[in-house]
Amino acid sequence: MALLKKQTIQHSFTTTMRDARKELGTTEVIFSHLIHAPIIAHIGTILAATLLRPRSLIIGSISATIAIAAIYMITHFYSYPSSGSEVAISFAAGWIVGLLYDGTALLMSRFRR
Amino acid sequence: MFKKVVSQLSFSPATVERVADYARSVRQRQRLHGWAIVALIVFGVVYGITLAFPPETAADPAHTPEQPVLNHTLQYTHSPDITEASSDQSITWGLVISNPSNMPITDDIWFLTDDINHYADITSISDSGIVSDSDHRILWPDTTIAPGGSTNFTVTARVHSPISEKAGQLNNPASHDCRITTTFGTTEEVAINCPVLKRVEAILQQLPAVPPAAGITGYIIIFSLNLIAYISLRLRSKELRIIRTQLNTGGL
Repeated sequence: MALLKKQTIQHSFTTTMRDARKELGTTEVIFSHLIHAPIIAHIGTILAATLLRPRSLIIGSISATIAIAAIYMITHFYSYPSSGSEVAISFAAGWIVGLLYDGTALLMSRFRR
Repeated sequence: MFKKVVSQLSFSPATVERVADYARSVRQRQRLHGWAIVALIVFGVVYGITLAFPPETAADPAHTPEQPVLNHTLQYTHSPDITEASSDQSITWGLVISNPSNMPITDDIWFLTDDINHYADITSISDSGIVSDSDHRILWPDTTIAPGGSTNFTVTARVHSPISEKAGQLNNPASHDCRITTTFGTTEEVAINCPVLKRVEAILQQLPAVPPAAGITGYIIIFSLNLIAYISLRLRSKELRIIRTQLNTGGL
C-alpha cells in the first residue's frame, strides 16, 4: 500500500513537472532535472538547513568584511603580521550569529502561535 | 518540500493555497540568497584587496648584537627591581659579578641593552659605565674583582611614554614583544604594559596560519554553493509560477 502510494506520488510529481518543463528553456529543463534528482534534492535540503542558511551567510560575510578591513588597516599601518585565519574565524562567528538569529526567530514565531 | 507540495496538487486542489505559501517562502529565500551573493561579492572584493596588497612585515634593520663572551671564572647574576612596568616608570637592574677564585681578576664587564632600548631610555649607570649606542652595550672597562669578592653595578632606565606600538621584528623575535629581556649570566624579563593595539598583534600571532590558497578555495566553494542555491530557488520559483498558472487555466 505504502509502495503504491509512493509510486502514485512520484507519478503525480513527474506528470506535473513534465507539463511545467514545457514552458522552460533547454538549460532550465536540464537544471530542473538536476535539482529535482532525489540525491541532489536531499543534499540541497541538508545544505539549505545548515551551511547555506542565507542569513548566516549575509551576517558572516558582513562581519568578515568588517573584521578583515579593520585588521588589514592595523596590520598595514603597524606592519603587524596577519595569520590569515582571522578571515575564517570572523566569517564563522558571523555565520553562528546568523544561525542564532534564525533559531531565535523560529522560536519566537512558534511562541506567538 | 517542493516535491511534497507539487505531487499533492493532483490529489487535492485544496493544496493550491499551500503551493502559494510555499512559493512565497521560496521567493523570500531567493531574495535572501541574492543579498548573500551581494554580501559575498563585497567581502570577496575586500578580501582580494588584502591578498593583493599584503601588509609589509617588519624586519629590524639593526643587527641583533651578539652576546659578549663572558669570563668563565667569574659568576654573573642580575635582577630587575620590578617585574612589570608602565610608561614613565623606572626600572633598575642590579648586576653582581663574583670572583670565586683565589686570584684577582681584571676584565671588561659588558651588559647588553639592545632589548631595553626598544621600550626604555637608559637614565643612569653606576661606576662610570660607558654606553655604546652603536652596539647597544654598557661597558665597565678593566674591572678588577678581588678573590672571593664581588662587584655590584646598577643600570636604570625609564620606560618610554607613550610605549611604542611598533611590530615585532621577524629577524629578532625578542624585539618589541612587550617584554624587556636582559641576559647577564641569568636571563630576566620585565613585562611592559603595552597599548591595546599590541594585544591585537599578540592575538594575531597566536592564531593558526591559513595560507591564502586555502582562504580563496573556501571562499569560492561558499560563493559557488550560494550561487547554485540562488539559481535553483529562482528556477523553483519559476516552476511554481508556471504550475500555478497551469492550475488556474485548467492546464493541470
